Amino acid sequence: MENWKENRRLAAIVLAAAVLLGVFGIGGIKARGVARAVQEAYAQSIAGDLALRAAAAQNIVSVGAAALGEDAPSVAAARRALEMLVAADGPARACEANTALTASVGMLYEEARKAIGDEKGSVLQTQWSEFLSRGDIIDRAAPAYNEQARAAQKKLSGFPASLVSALVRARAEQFS
Amino acid sequence: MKRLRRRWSALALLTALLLTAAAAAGMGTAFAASTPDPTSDFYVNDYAGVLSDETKEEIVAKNDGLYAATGAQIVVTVVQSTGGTSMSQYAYDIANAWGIGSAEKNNGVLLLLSIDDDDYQCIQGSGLETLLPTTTLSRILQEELEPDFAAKNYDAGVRKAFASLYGAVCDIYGYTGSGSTAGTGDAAVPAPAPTNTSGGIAVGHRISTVVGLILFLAVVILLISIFTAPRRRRTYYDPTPRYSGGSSFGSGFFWGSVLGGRRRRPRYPPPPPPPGGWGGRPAGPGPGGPRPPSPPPFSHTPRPPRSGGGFGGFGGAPHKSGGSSARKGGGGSFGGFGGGASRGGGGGFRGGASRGGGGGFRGGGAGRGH
Repeated sequence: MENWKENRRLAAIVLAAAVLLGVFGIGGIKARGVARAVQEAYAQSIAGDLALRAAAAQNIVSVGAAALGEDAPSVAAARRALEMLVAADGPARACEANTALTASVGMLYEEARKAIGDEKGSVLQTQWSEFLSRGDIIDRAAPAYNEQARAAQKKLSGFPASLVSALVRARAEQFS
Repeated sequence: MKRLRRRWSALALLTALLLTAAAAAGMGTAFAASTPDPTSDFYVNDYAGVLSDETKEEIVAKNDGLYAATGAQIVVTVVQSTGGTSMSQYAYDIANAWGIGSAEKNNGVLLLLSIDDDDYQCIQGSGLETLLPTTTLSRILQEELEPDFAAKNYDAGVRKAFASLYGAVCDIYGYTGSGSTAGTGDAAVPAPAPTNTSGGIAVGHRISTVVGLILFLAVVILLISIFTAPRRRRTYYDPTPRYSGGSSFGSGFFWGSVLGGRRRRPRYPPPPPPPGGWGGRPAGPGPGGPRPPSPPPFSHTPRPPRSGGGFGGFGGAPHKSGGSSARKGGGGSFGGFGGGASRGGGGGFRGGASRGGGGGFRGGGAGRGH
C-alpha cells in the first residue's frame, strides 16, 4: 500500500469508519452505562421487595385455595396476577402487575378471612401483613427511583443519544 | 450607575437566598411538623395518658440496658389521634424523625397506638427487617396486643406486646438482660445514652435550621467579599511588540472584545531599529556584528476601563477578586436535610434515595388493619 496516503477514497472510508466507531462505540458504552445504573437502582430499591411481596401473595393464594377451593374465582384471579408479576420484564410491567396483584389478593384475603375466621397469628394474617408491608415500602421507594429513571430517559433522548441507545437497546423505565 | 445596579442585584439575590434558607430550614420540619416530639423519657411517650407508671418504668429500664448493650431501641408511643394521617405514615414519620435505634445498625422498633383511631402500628428499622420480620410483628400484635386493645385495656396490652418485642430483640442479639450479649457475636454498641430534647424542638428541625443559617451566612459573606473587594485592573504582560496599524488579530483585540470593551489598548510606537537595520539576527556570539537591542518589554500598563458589558449580577463571568469566583448563584441545592440523625443515632429516612447512616425506617410494618 505505498500509495495509501494518496488514496483519498480509502482514507475517507477509514475516517468515516473511525468516526462511526467513535460515536456508536463510545456512545453505546455510555448509553449502556446510564441504563445499567437505573437497572441497578431498581434492583436495589424495588425489585427485592417485589419478590418478597410475591412470596407473601403466593402464601395467601395457597391458604385461600385450601379454604375456598382451587377453582374459586378469587383464587384464580390472584394466581393470574401473580404469574403476571413473575413474568414482568421491566419496571413498567412489574408496576402494572403489582397493581393487579394488590386488587386480586385483597379480594382473596377478605374471602378467605371470612371462611377461616380471624384466628390470631394465623398464616393468613401474618402473610397479609407482610404483603401490605412490602407494598407500603415499594410505594415509598418508587418516587425516588422514578426520578432517577426520568433523568436517565432525558439523557438517552435526543440526537444522537436516542439513535445510539436504540441500537444498543439501552433504556430506562419508570416504575409507574 | 453600575454600582447601583450591582447593589440592587445583590439585594435581590440576598432576598432570594433568605427565602431559600428559610425554606431549607423548613424542610427539616417536614417530619416534626405533623408528629409530636418525644418526651424526656423517649422510650415511652404516653400522650393519651393510658399507661401506668409501672409500665413506663419497665419500658424505660429495659430499654436502657438493651440500648447500652446492642444499640437497639423499642419505643412505645400512644397518641390520642393521628389527625387523619394513616397509621403507617404516622409511624414512618415518627420513627425517622426521632431516629430510633443505632445509626450503624438501624435496629429500632416503634410501637404506636392511636386511641381515637382505634388502631395501632408497629414498624422496624431496616436493619431488623430480616431478623424481626413483619410476620413476627404481626403475630406479636395479634396475640399480645389485640385482645387487650379491643377491650380498651391499653396498659396491659402494651405491657405484653412490649415484653414480646423485647424478648424477640434480645434473642436476635443474644442479650440476656444482664448487660452483656452472648451468642450472636454482635458487639455491644458503645454509644452513650440517648439525649433528650429540651424545649420541645425535634433535633432534626434544629439541625436543618442551623445548617440553613450557616449556609445563608456563608453566602452573604461571599457576596459581600465579591461586591465590595477593591477591583484590580486586569493587567498582563504581552511581550509582542506593537506596530501602528498592525494586525487586528492581536491578543489585545481578543481580550478587549471578550471583556466587553471595544476600546483597544493605546498603540505604542515601534521600537527604534537597531543600527544597520534589522537584518538577520546573528546566531549567538560570533561574527556578524553586535546584536541589535531587544525591543523594550511591554510592561504592565493600566488597562482602560471597560465599557458596557460587565457582569450580569451574580452568575456572570467569573470575577476573581481576592476571593473565590462564584459562578453559580445561591440557588444551589439546600436539600438533603434528613429528619433525625440523632436520638439514638438512628433514623435517616430512606425515600429511595439513602442518607448518612443509611437505612433507617423504610415504612411498612404490621398493624391492626392488617
